[in-house]
Amino acid sequence: MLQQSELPVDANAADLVVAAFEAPDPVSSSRRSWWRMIPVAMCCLWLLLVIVGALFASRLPIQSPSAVKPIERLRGPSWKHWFGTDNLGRDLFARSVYGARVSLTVGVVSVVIGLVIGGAVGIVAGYLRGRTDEFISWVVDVLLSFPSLVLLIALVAYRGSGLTNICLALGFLGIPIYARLARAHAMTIGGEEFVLAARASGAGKLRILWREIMPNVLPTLSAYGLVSMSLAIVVEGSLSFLGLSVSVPTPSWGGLIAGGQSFIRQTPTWIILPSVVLCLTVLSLNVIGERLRRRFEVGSGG
Amino acid sequence: MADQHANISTTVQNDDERSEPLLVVEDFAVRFHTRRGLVRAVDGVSFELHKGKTLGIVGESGCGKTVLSRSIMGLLHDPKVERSGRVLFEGRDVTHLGRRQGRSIRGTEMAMVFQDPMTSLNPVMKVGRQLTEGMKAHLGLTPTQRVESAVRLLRSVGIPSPERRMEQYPFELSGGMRQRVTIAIAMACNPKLLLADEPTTALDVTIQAQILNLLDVEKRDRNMGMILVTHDLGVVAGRTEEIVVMYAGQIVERAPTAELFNAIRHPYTEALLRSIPKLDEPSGTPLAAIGGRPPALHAIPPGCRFAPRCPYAQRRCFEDAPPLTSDASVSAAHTFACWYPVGVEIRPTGGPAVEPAVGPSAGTSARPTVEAVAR
Repeated sequence: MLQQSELPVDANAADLVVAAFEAPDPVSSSRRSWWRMIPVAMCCLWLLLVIVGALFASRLPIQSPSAVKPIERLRGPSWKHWFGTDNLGRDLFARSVYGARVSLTVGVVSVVIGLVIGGAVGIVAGYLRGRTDEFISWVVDVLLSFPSLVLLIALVAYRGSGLTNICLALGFLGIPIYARLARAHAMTIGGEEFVLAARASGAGKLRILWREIMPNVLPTLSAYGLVSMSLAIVVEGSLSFLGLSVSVPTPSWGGLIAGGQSFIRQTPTWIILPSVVLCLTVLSLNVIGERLRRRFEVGSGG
Repeated sequence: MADQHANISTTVQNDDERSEPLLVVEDFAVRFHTRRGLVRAVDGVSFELHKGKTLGIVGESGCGKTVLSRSIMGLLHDPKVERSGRVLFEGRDVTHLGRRQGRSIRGTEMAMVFQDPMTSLNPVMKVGRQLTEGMKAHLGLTPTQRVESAVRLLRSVGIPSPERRMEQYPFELSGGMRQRVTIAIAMACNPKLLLADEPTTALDVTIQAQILNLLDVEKRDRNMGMILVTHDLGVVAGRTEEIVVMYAGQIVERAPTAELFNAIRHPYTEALLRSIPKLDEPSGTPLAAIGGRPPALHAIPPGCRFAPRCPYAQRRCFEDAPPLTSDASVSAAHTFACWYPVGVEIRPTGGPAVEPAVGPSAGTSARPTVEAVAR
């Protein structure tokens, strides 16, 4: 700790007072809007639940997702089988929990691929401008003008289905979107005075991109990343539904929903409950992502 | 290199300074190619600066002072920016340095303090990191040495408990504190030249004097040359050795500080001085504003650029541009660009003279002195 006597003589009281007044008062602001935090808090809780379920599925006291019991086939929800059973008597709750693994993996990996590559390319384009920007923007426009589902199906058809390929394909589709977003933000931040100040202190382009631009673009990109994670999960669901995702015995949310459609009259819960899980997860990601996005927008202004 | 330097010193008009100037700016011009035409932001500016001295560049917004200071730093290297003339730093031409050479000069040899400390610090980087960033690139110290030297710097710019501040983000500091931090960052690699571009404009009046004093102390301790860019004659009055007044990209008056305030020659400088509100005036006295606006820099009219706003303008002022001359009988160091300088009775009587809207300050007793306007 610093001794009081070590303070310089002109450690001006005025500055300290101003600092004290400018410091945000967390108590009063949280009191004013705590009720608005409830939906966000619930979304966080749900996501936490899904993530824990996906990570520790094999250690949780749930039934095996692949144990076939023909006697208990096509049951509705009960204490033993919370979500009921499918036509082979497999526990649908366990399959939903294990299905979260596929969905979350696809969501996270595809977003990371898109964010890292698209973000890097976009930041470079937005800060350097000129020819580099023209070229990158041209490529991005071409990629964006492709109908994405067609491109996705073509990619999967060409490379084959499977978790890795789905992740790569979805990540690839995300690249131009992140690139655009990053480019726009990098342009704004590139014009800020602290970037000029960094140049004035002899920083090169790489150092400015990495130290000044990237950390300022990242919050916005990751907020959008949460939103687009939900999109990736939905698309994976659609692909599973079409039978283009993971191979059959591995449970996935889209696959569960697809499997239930032939039995919608006997056990509608087979379709409904996994759909609700998917819906809640997507909604949570959207709500949290949207909240973060707004927060960073306000924050960057002040 | 050596004869280059010899050439310069012959053109130097400053007699009492025999040493090599730190910075020489010779007939320097910066032009931007825009859609509306060629914008002459800086047009034929020359001055010099010695070690341990402060030069004030004064002028209203858009007069080219910021462009001038940034292009001295080499921050305007762009194909769309056309530069001519020379900037010599310690006798070395730094006008057309390559990217790498420019980078090695910025930060170590020349440093800059910006106007708004709210925007000139990176909001997502801790203060300590921003301080050590430059040292890492230029000085090659070990991480511990860097932190130690950063703490020392923060203490020297008057920031209490620097160890704690190092771990804070800029938003946790007040405006005055932040400007102290930017000064510490500028000092990090011991520059020989400091360019301060309106360093106090964005600050509270109470903090302004503290920051200016701090800049003064740092300048003296390190024997730096300093260029203080401002729109406020009051800021430069007590803190500079020489003042350059710019208008529409050109120098209109240049003199040692005391001489300038003793005998202002250019009507623009006079008008700038008048526009500073004074405490001893009765309340309700209207502020003396300069009417009109500076000329658009892409379509500069012939003649004196200040003529349309000048209360003393004659016909000649609208036709011929006055050169930068000095009144040798008074002082060779005091130069000004005016056909009818203030305080010299050579105004032609008769003819289609425009009557001055404001009475010329003929009475020397009413003239503001350095002490009166200095902050």
